[in-house]
Amino acid sequence: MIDLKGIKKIYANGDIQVAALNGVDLHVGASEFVSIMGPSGSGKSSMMNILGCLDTPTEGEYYLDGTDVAKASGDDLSVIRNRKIGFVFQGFNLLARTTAVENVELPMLYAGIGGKERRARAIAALESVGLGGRIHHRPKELSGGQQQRVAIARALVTKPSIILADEPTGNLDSRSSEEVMAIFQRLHASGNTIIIVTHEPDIAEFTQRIVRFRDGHIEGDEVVQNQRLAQALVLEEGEAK
Amino acid sequence: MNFFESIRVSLRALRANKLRSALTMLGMIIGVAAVIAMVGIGNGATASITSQIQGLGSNLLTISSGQSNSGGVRGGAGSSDALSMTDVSKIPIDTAVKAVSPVTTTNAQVVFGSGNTSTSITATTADYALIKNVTIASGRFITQEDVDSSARVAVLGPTVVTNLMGDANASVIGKVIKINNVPFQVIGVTTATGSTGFMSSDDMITAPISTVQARLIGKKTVRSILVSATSADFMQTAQDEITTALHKAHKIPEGKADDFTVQNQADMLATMTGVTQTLTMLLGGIAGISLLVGGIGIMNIMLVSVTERTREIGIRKAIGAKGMDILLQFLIEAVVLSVLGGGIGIALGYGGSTLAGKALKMSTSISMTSVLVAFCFSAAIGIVFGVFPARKAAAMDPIDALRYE
Repeated sequence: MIDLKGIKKIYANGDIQVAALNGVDLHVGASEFVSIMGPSGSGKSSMMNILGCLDTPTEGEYYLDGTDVAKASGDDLSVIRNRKIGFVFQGFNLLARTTAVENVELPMLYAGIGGKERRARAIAALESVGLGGRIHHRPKELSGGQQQRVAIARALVTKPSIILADEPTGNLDSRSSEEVMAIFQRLHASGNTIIIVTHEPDIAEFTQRIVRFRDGHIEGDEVVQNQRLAQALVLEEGEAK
Repeated sequence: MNFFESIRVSLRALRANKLRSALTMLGMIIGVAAVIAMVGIGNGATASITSQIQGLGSNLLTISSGQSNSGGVRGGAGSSDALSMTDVSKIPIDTAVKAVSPVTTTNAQVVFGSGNTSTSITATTADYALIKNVTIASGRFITQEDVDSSARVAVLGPTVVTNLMGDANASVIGKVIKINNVPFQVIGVTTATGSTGFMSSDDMITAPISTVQARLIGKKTVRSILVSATSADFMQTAQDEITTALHKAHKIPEGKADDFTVQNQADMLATMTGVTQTLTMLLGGIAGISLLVGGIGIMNIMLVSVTERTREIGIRKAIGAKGMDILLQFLIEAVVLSVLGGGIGIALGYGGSTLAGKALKMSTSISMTSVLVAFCFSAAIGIVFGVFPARKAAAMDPIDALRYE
């Protein structure tokens, strides 16, 4: 699924060169549920950008579904992101003034999927995260947890190879965080590959494997012994907010 | 993403910011409306001046008396009484000159029954009809006998008939009207030419020059002499003959200033249309500058919009938008603004010039060409001024764009 070999990311700042990633090898198999941890400056954000094909490594090889994407150009990366990667961000990153269902339709718009199919799949994706009753709400009219669930629906609607979540619970209270993690666990149970970047140990405990970064390289790679099960306290559709 | 989806995305973005979109369009609207209205009014003015001058008669030369000079004070052209009926007979009718006719005009109050109107009286001879292409709707024009006998007869323009009788088709032949209290018998009505406003040939009474001089003016003034050349080719010859004849008649020695001027209708036409065309270009040019300013306004707003929506661009790119998708989205927004503004501007300009035409009682003409040019120009402005902001948006790095606060 994901194979990283000797990944280096070097930022040139004037004459000073800073290696954010210094020779990283990582393999993530299909249907894994991985969290990437590390203090700030450890290189986990650079890792996230490279894994998400938002950025290319200075050196090294990145095989995603068997193809090397390390040297792809801007527009090719757009296509790869569109087809293979679903993003969930800390700040939700939904389009304001745009309804939930339209936000979820967005990646399919760029994939060139027709209007009717787009709408049907977007509604199905929103229903799968328990927001079937709020498809015409705008981000402002939704709580943080609900916004993040719209973002998750948007990430999974294209049936991507991996779902990448960057601090998905960073802006949420503990109750909403657990809801979101419950959704990730459910998605994982149905066969999705999920990678979460986080600095919160208790969030990482919801996953199956923790990869720890420090100073641009992998410091530890362990299997979570006692995986916590998130309680879906929620809030199924129609229940009052 | 296909083109229609791009258009829908752009339209949605414009609708999301209605006030800003409207204000941005305003620049385009005003620019295009100004161009259309200015060019329309200018074209109308040119057309009306051309038709007025051509309505004066074909191959026409107008002789007017020169400036008066009493005690060193110079009057305007035509202020001296240099021309007389004798001069008329001195101009030879030959291969170059077809007809000669003296003209004196005055204004008078005309009364018929309970109706009355103020109009201009053109005092002339029979050949006037030939020179000025006057056609008669009913009755007859004045004849040489009328002039010789100082007959109190008058030919009315259709507007005068309407003003006096309240109906253009009223039967007036043989009726007696009073011009400044002098009774005249109506002998004919001229055909309507459709000319309106100042010096309309429809709002005028024609009468024998001898009668008018004796009864209405009280002196033997000849304001101008109209000469019709046999063809356009003979205009110069005719002009030379007139000059020679009048030099002799007025006893003006070689080298001394003439006490009359000969105006050539073709020259007048060329001068007048030249002036109005220059004015049209000038007005159109000024309006064009406002169009340019409108375009810069669009670019300005689009640049602001791109910066403001950096995060949106980042999101779109992260989930799969290519550079071209983003470029198209912003370019289409700019083009929609300018084309929509252009369209509204054309409608407003059309309405504006029609209204102005009504208010100023002149015809305006909006040519399809000027509409097309304005429309294409506004679309082009949208593209030209939209490309820069759109490229800026398309070139954004998704990571930086997502991080943008």
